[in-house]
Amino acid sequence: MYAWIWHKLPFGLPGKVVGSVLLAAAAAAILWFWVFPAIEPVLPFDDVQVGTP
Amino acid sequence: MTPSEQGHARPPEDPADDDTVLLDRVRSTPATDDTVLLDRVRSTPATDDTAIIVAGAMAAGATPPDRLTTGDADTTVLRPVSPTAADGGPRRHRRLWPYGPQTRTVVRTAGELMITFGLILLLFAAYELWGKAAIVADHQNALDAQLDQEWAQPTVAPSPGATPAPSQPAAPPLVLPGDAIGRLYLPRLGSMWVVVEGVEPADIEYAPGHYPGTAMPGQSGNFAVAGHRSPAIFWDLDRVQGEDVVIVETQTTWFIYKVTQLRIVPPSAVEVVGPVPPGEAPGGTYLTLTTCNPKWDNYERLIVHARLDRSQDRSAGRPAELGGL
Repeated sequence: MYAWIWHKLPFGLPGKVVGSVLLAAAAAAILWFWVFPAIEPVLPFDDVQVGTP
Repeated sequence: MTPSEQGHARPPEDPADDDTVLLDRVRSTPATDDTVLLDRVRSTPATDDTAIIVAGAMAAGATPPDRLTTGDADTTVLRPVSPTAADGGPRRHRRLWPYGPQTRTVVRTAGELMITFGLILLLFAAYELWGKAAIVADHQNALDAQLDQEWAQPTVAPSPGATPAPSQPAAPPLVLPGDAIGRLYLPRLGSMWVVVEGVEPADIEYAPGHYPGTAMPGQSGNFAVAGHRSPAIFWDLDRVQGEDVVIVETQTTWFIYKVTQLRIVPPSAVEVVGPVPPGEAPGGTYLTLTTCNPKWDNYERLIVHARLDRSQDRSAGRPAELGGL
């Protein structure tokens, strides 16, 4: 997978390095701003009330 | 064996990532190794056909035996020889990776996906720690400003002339879930939060929430508040100690409570938010904070009980117990 992406990235070694960093940053941003806020309320470690379990 | 012959059995030093290295490793296992077998054959007297083949291969490779210790020379010489000399030589290579290249790709991709999943989990932990803290801080600032604005305009809120109705204890009933109802200060932790009404997940996402139906601040009974065990809210609630002050600010009054108990209870212990917390005298004015325990999990609840110590009018300024807050 990663080897395939690396192979597909253009513009020689500098282009591959810059492209990899951009891809990783984009993936992290998507997770941080959209995916995590969406899944976070579903996860169990946030129940704080007593009573209704 | 002479030292030069033992050299064949040594693993190659060239770590090139291809099948050659794997083949050489197979050969370099002791005793069952093809190479060793070949060497043993060669060291028998020269009447053996195999020995002649080996010698011929050596000559064809034009490499003296001493130089054969490096990986490339080893394979170029041995490859043509091993199928003829050793039974099951090529089969042994197939046994090391007996599947096709597609399987290899599948296995490698699965490994990469697992590593990726681990990295995502680490990122999620970072989000829970720092990302949520920033989001909660933003919302707290907004709620704080909203509270200031509401309190600044005296509308239907209890004014001196309108409140003398002690028969109705729930005088301000028009509090909707999610509305900001006051500020909660914990000088020990150096923290202040705006408290909202309601303990549903949507209510307490960014602020501690007041259990509906429990007393309001300063009322006889138990002002119970639930908050997430997240770094921006009740993360360090376990650092609270007995006699610490907990201060609640409403539109008209500061209420100064003193901590009486810190408890860890099962999630079913609804009595801790009852009008009289367990172990307290009836008829008092109490405050209870609840959050989950331990951190990152939810199988227990951390409870802080406090009893009203005194109150002071908001017009009299900030209470001294606030310290630098």
